[in-house]
Amino acid sequence: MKRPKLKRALTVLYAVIFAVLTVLFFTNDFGLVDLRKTAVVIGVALDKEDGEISLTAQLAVPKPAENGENTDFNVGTGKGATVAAALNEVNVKTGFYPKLVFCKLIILGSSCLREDITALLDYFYRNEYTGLTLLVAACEGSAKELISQKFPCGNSATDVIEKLLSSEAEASGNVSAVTLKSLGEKCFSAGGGAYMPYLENGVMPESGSGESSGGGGGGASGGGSGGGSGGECQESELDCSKCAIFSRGVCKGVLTSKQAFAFNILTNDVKHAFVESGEGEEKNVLGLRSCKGGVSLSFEGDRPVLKASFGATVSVQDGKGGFDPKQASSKVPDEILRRGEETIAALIGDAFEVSRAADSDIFGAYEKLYKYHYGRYESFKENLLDELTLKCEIKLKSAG
Amino acid sequence: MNNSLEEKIARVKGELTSEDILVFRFSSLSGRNFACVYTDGIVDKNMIGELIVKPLREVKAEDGADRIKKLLAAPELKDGKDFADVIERISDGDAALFAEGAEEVFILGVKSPPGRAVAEPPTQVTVKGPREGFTEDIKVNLGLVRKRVKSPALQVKTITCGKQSRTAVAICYLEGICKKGLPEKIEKQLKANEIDILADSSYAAGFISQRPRSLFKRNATCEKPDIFCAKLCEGRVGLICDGSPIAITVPYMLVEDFQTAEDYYSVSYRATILRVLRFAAVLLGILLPAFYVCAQLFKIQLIPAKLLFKIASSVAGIPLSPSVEIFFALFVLEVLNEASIRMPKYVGLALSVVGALVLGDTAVKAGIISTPAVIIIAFSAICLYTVPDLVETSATLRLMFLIIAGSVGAFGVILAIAFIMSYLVTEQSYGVPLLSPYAPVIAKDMRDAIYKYDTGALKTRPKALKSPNKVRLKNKR
Amino acid sequence: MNEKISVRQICFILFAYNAATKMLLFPTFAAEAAGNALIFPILFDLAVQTAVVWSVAYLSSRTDKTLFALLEDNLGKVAARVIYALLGLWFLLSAVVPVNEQQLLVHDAFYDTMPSLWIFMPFFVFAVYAGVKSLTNVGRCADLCFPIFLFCTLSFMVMAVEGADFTALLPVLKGPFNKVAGLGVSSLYRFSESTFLLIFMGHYKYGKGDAAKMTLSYAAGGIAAVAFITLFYCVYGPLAPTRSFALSSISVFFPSISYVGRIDLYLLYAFDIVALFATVLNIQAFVHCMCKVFSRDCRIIYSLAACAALIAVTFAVNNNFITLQKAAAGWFWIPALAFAYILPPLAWILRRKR
Repeated sequence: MKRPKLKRALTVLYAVIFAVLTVLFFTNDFGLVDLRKTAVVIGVALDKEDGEISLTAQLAVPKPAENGENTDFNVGTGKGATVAAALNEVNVKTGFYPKLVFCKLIILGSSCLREDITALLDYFYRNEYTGLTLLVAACEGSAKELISQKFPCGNSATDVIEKLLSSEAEASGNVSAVTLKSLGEKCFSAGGGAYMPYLENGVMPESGSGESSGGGGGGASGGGSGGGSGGECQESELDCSKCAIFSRGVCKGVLTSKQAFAFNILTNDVKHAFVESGEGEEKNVLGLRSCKGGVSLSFEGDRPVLKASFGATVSVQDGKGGFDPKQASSKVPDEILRRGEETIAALIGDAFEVSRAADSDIFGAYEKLYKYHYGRYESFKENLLDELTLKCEIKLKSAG
Repeated sequence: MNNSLEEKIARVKGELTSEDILVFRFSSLSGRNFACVYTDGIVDKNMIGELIVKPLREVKAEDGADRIKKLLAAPELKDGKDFADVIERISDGDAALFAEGAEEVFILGVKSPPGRAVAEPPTQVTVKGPREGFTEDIKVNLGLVRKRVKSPALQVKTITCGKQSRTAVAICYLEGICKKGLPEKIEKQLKANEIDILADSSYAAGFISQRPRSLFKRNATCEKPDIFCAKLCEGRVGLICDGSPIAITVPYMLVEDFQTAEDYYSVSYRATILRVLRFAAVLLGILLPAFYVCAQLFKIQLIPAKLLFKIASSVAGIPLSPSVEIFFALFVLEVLNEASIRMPKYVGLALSVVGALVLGDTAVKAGIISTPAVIIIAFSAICLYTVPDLVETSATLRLMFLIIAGSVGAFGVILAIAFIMSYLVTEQSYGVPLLSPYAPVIAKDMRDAIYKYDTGALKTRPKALKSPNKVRLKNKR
Repeated sequence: MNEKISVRQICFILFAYNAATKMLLFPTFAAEAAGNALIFPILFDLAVQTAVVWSVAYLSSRTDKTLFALLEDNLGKVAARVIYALLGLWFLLSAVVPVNEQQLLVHDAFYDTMPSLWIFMPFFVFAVYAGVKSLTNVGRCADLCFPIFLFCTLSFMVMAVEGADFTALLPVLKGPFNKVAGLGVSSLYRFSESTFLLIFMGHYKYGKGDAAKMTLSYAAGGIAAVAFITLFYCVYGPLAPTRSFALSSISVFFPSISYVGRIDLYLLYAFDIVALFATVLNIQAFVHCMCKVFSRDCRIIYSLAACAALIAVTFAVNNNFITLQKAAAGWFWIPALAFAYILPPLAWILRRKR
């Protein structure tokens, strides 16, 4: 081919490409779904009704606004044999294509917990567009009702629950937050034990004082404090301090707030927490700082031992015995520390026994056996939880 | 030449028939007749009086050409080679002196075309550093260059371009520093183009460019003599065209446009930060509208969720599609830009107010375009002007990327970037790769590219320019 | 056409392009095939190919001739042409998987909803354009791609470390051996960069220590890819096979993402520029071979032909990538063994006159 001919051909080619692009540009004929045809799903609630999946999606619906943001949060519902079918129904009903890329939360209603949740969540694991960063929580009763609730300050249910399950809340030991990824890892691990926060509706007393269902019997309102802050906002009526435990994807029980707290300080990256110790006049609330918890599996002879270790620096937050200015700056007495250690050990023991009874390996004993003691895996892969002995090593030291 | 004075004048007038070609006749005290032919308006008549008429009063009838030459006080005095040369000199603004009884024609440099004074150039303003800028007068410009480079190595080769305009073009370079053969090559290319008028240096830029149709230019421009001289000292060739305040330098590297004179007059860290900023700003200016459209049309995750909700609120109810909306905003911007430059100054000011306030604000309030679209386009425009020398290219690229983004999406944008990279890496300006010192990597030249070392560390001239004299700084560091 | 390339540029190609091509779908494939033992077969393949790369690089120190010239001197023109034609076909074959991976990446990471296959077609316009470019152009593109690759990969890895659980690799080498060995064999074809080095022979000026530089660059690139793949597995553990592209999912657990949005996508787009050049390198090598085979510099025709073949394959395997991947894993190692593992050392047999 001669060069001038080639040049002319290239010029024609460029012109054709430009023309095609320009036509596409102005017609917007891509068959794709742009922002204006999109319903941005920020949260999903799943329930089981009559053997079908009922999906309730919290949708962010932008309203024309000259200045700033004006987004309404509506819910769209759909039913189907699978999550995908239910989502498609949302599309059919609303006319908007639901996109899950900004979805932050999946709530599972109690009807879903009776069956294998991994089958239910299969869609989210397969879907490349969702990502596995979504928070997952179980709830008492209907998830649809929970996500449809109105919350103070115009917050959507998803926003409120997201705050409740935030990393800050997790750092206080009051919540056992899990993402889709960590849930999947646990469900598909050697032991198959998993957990997720269990949301309860309308259990918070108005004053927020007295006996709280918050973590560790602690004074803080714990998991129930995330409904918004300051101003005219009322305290949220959601409590997420409990923890649903699973075995091979099926819910086997719910840890109480105290048990969940004990579990959280061992397995989560807790920065600061509160724990009550003692009885009557000797009752104190201890503030735990520099917490360091962990669970390991070892063998004493042929007996598997699950070692739960926890250490923290302690200060007395308040107590029934009243305030003594002379002792305000002194170290925490050993007696109080010892009582605190006993309390924590007892709580851990409780949590362990409940999980063992439920055959839910939430402490990851099987996983530890598989990873660190592979040689004994075959021997214990069926009955590790039954053989396991719990040993708690709690070391509290006084601050100051 | 014929000895008769009147015949000579008649011949000149026969060639130069225009009425502004004046003939000034005068006689010496001894009665010998002279005629001075010049172009009205571009010569200094006082100089004719002082340098020609006054001294020639002493001429006697029998004095020959040598005696006349001795008496003439003009510093620029040449003999006219032939009739054509005389005609050209007169057209160029010199005066031709004809003496009765003398065969020679004396050409006297009394040119003084109307022009403005040396001033700070509008496009290359500096806070620190010299403020002089080139003017439209080639002699002034060459003077400004000479003022800074006094070395005998500085060579100025003047040629004329333009069949009708006969514009003087000075090819400047430093002998021994500039790559051998380069000035000759440029001269050859300039001479190879016969055009009626060389109205501006950009004509010359087109002539010396190996790929004049390319979107990417092959030469640098500068309006400041300090930059021009610095580039000559690096081994480049400079072109100054009469009538243009913009000089051209070749070979050119793309990175040059991201450097400013002030980088060399301030701390190197600051210079580096500013260069990175300029680079990022140009990249952002070109790609921001494209990615904004991509985000709305194809991939909403490109925008953080909360910002997306704000944008979604703004665009809800807008009748135009995202791509057409941005295109429309860009179109308005370009129209405003063009009109505000061309409009008379005072009308231009009013126009920018009308454009910015009335058009922009009303369009947003009326729901024709959204606030984010206006912000994106305005920010993009500001970003591009951080590197004014590249605006022509970058504004075209912005439009190109926008069309690609609106039709193919982010993948198209990435492909276009790859395409441009592949195209640019082997493009050259007089043997110097356009993307040098990054492709090909020339480690030493990177000391003064986007990252800038302090001046004391810039010991060698850019290797890419292949200067025969490599060292530009000797110190004991 | 200027066909000079520098050793530095070859090193960049062996580092950046080598790693980039292994960071698209390969991490998922490896995680699926060998689980937490994925690191060992990859390291094995890398080690073997590094040795082959060294053999070719060292051969360059003994001759300044191109492979074609060596073949011509020893076996005659016809044999040289036949071998180059086969080598060209190998390059075309080895472009099939990267091109289709690129297509899947585009559909996955550049669009929210599945677009039509036509949206990928502009790639071939670029491929035709880049295919006709000289080795000088290839080298200079590598100069630009190297810093982009380095920046993006480091950013990805720094962002991913936060969410990684390195115990996911435990227990070490306790998985079924056949799976590990299977990955080793099936991914042999992904480690075939020595063939590019064969093409570059005679087009660069060999200096002292250049063989070591090239070999180390290749090894470093491979190790960077292994580190990335390992990190990906540590982030997702048993869920790693469910993520199609490590690049688009490895950094999502970085805390800042929730505030500033998916900045990793912008990094991915920049990374994709490197991946594009790495992909079209196969087409460029094919065109180079065809120029030698036909002794005519009709690059545009060869490039068009290569792209036409690849378009046909892309349409054929559209929505059937798993079939392609299985086929590639099943038998691509056979030609890979011939061209990337046996042919380069065989080049040592050829008589060399400087």
